Amino acid sequence: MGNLLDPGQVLLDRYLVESYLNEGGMQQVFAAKDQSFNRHVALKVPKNDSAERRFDRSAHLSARITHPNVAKTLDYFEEGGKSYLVEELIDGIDLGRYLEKCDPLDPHLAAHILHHLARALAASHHANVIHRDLKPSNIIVGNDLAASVVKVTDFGIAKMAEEEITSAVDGGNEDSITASKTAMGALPYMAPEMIEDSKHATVAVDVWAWGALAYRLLSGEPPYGSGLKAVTGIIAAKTPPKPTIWQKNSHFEPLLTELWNIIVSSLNKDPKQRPTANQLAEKCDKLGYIYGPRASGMIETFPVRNWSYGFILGDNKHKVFFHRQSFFGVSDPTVGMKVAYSTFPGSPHVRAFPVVPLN
Amino acid sequence: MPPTGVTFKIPARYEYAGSSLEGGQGYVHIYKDTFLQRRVAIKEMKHPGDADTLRDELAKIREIRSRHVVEVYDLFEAKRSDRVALVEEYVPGPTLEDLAKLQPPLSENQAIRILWQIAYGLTDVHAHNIIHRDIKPRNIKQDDERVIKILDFGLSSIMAPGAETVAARGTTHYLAPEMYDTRPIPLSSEIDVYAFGVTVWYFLNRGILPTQLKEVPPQPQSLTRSLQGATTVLPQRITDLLDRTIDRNPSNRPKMESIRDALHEQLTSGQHRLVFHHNGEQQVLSKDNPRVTLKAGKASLKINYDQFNFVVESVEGNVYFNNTKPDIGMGLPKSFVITFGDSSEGPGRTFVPVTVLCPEVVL
Repeated sequence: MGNLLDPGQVLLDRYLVESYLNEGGMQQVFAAKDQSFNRHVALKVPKNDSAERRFDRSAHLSARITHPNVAKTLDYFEEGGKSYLVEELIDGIDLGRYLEKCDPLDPHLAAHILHHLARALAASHHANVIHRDLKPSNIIVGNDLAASVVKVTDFGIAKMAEEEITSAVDGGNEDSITASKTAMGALPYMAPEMIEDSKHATVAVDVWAWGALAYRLLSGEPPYGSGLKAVTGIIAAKTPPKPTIWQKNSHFEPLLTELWNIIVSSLNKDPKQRPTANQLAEKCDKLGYIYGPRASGMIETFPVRNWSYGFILGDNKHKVFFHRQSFFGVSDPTVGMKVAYSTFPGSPHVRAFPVVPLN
Repeated sequence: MPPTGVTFKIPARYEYAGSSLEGGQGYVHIYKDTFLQRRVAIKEMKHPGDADTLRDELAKIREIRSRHVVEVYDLFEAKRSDRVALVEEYVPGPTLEDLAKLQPPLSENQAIRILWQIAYGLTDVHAHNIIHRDIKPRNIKQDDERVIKILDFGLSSIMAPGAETVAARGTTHYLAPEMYDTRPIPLSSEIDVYAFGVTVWYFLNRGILPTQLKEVPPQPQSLTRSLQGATTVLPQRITDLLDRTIDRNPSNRPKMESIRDALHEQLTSGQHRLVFHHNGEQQVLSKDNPRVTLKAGKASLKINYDQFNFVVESVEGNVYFNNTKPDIGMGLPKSFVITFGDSSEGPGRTFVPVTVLCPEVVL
C-alpha cells in the first residue's frame, strides 16, 4: 500500500509531515514536526475504515496511561474525515528490528527490557487497560545497543487480529490468516484463552504475552513456535523446553534461573494462576543485572590455544579484553565476529562483559 | 461556564471540568479533553510579557526529555493581546506539601525514593542548561503511578555563559541567599540546589522549616541545624550531603547529579549480589552471605559486602583483579576476573570471572 501522507503536508495547521517511518497491520507511522512547540512527534494514521474504528478506541486507551515506559499520547484529531494520533517520537527502533541486529539477547539486557515492560503493564492494568498485543514490534527501545529507553505503544489495537485468528482457528481457514501479517506477528504471544475466546480476555493475557516474549528474547524462538502451528502448543500450554543456549555458559546461570522461574509462572494455562503485572514487576525489582552503555567492536584475537580469553577491537579503536565465560551466543566466538559489550576497568586493557554477537 | 481569569476562547474540544486554581504567576483550570477523554490543565500566565520570548522559552523547556517534567500538549495565543495559554498534562497530586504531612508519615525508603526522583528530574533540567528558579513543595507532584513530576516552569531561565538576572524572582524561603546580593546576580543551577535543600527540609520535617531558613535573607547554613534534627532522619551519608545544599556559598553546594546518584545508591543498598564459579561450584555473595575467602595455591583473598560495594578485606600472595593488584578497602568493579598466581605460572594460574548483579530502580 502506498503512503497515506506525503512529506511537506501540514495537518491541523500544526503538524508538518516529514517522513514515513514504518507501518503495522492497522496504521502507518510518520515523523512530523509539531510547529507549535518546534518538536518532533510520531503521527499515526489508520490504513482503512475498519482500522479507523479500532484506532479511535486505541487512542483513548493509550491516553489513559501515564508512565515513563508507555509512549505518551499527545494529540488526537480528525481532519478531512480521517483520524490522526500524535505520540511522542522516541529516538529508537522497535524491538523486532533490534533483534535483527542481536538475537537472542543476553540475560542482562533481556532482564532490563523485561523489567521496564513489566512496569509498563502494571501501569496499564492500574488504568484498566489491557494491551492485548504485546510483541516485539509494539515495543520501542532507545537507539543505543543498551536499550536504555523502553516504551510500549499501540494499546488495544489488536482487536482485529484476534478476531481474524479466532475465525481462522474455528474455520480452519489458513489462507485468510496467512495473508495477515498482523495476525501472524501477534500469534506467538497470544494467550490460550484469547485464542479460544478473545471476547473474554483479561489483564492476564498481557502477563502471558510477557512470558512468551521473555522466552523469545532469551532463546531466539517463541515458546511454541510461530505461525498457525503454534496454536496447538499454546492451547496445550505445556512448559516449553529450556533453551539449549542457556547450557552453554554457566556464568549466566543465576540470572537465567531467576528469569526462567518468572517465565514459567507467566506461561500458566490458567490465567488466574499467573502472577499479576504488579507481582511480575516486583519479581523483576529483585533481579539484578548489568545495565548501562554498550559499545560495539570485532573480535580480533584469541592469544592462547583452547582459548580462555580473547581481545576485541572496539569501533572506537580501543583494545578490550574478554574472558570466555563473558560470551553469550548461539555459535562460538570467532575472529572477525561483530560483538556488543559493556566495559569495566582493567589493565592494560579494559574488560568486556557481557559479550554478545551482532549481525 | 468559563471560569474567571480565562481571557481566551478555549476550543470546544475542551470542556470546563469545574475546577480552577490561582497560583503565583497564573491561573490553572482543569478541563476535559473530549477527543482523548482525559483531563488536562489549562494554564494562563498573569503577566503576558513578550509572547515571543515566552514561546521561545517554552519551546526550550519542551526539549527537556525527562520523565519528571510534565508534558505540554497545546498552546493558544489570544487574538487581541500578547497572552498565551498552555494545555498541559494534568497531575492530580498529591503535592510534596501533602506528602510531607501524610499520616502515618512515609517510610525512610519511600522518602528517599521521592527525593531521588526530584533530584533525577532536576539533573535532567540542568543538563539542558535550564534553571527552574521556583523549586518548592507545591511545584512538585506525584502522579497516579507514584512518579514525581516537576511543574511550573513559568519562571525558569536558560543558563548561558555570563547569564545574570536583575530580578530575584522565586518564592520567599526557597530563594538562595545570593539572590539578596547586589544586582546583577549570576544565574546558575546552584539556585535550584538551594531551593531543593529547603524543599528537603520541608519534606522531611512535616512541613516545618527551621527559623533560620525563614529569615530574609536566610541565615548561613553554619547556624542552621543539620537535617539530623528533622522528623524523618535519613542515613548519615545522605544527611551530610543534603546539609550542603543550603550552604551560603553556592560553589559548596553539591550538584543535583551527585545528589541523585547518592540517593540511588541508598535506594539499592543491600540488594547487590556477587556471582562467581570457583572450584566447580557456583557461589553467590549477598546481604545474607556477605563474606568469602577464596584460596588458590598460596594465594588468598577476602571479600566483604558493605551494603553498597563488594570490598577487598585482605589479600595474600599473588592475586590480581583484571590484571591489577587490588588494594585493601578497594570497591570492586561490577564485572572482573580474579587471577590467582602471576604470569610466571602460565597456565597454572586460576581465573575466576565475577559479576555483580545490580538492582535497577524502575518506576
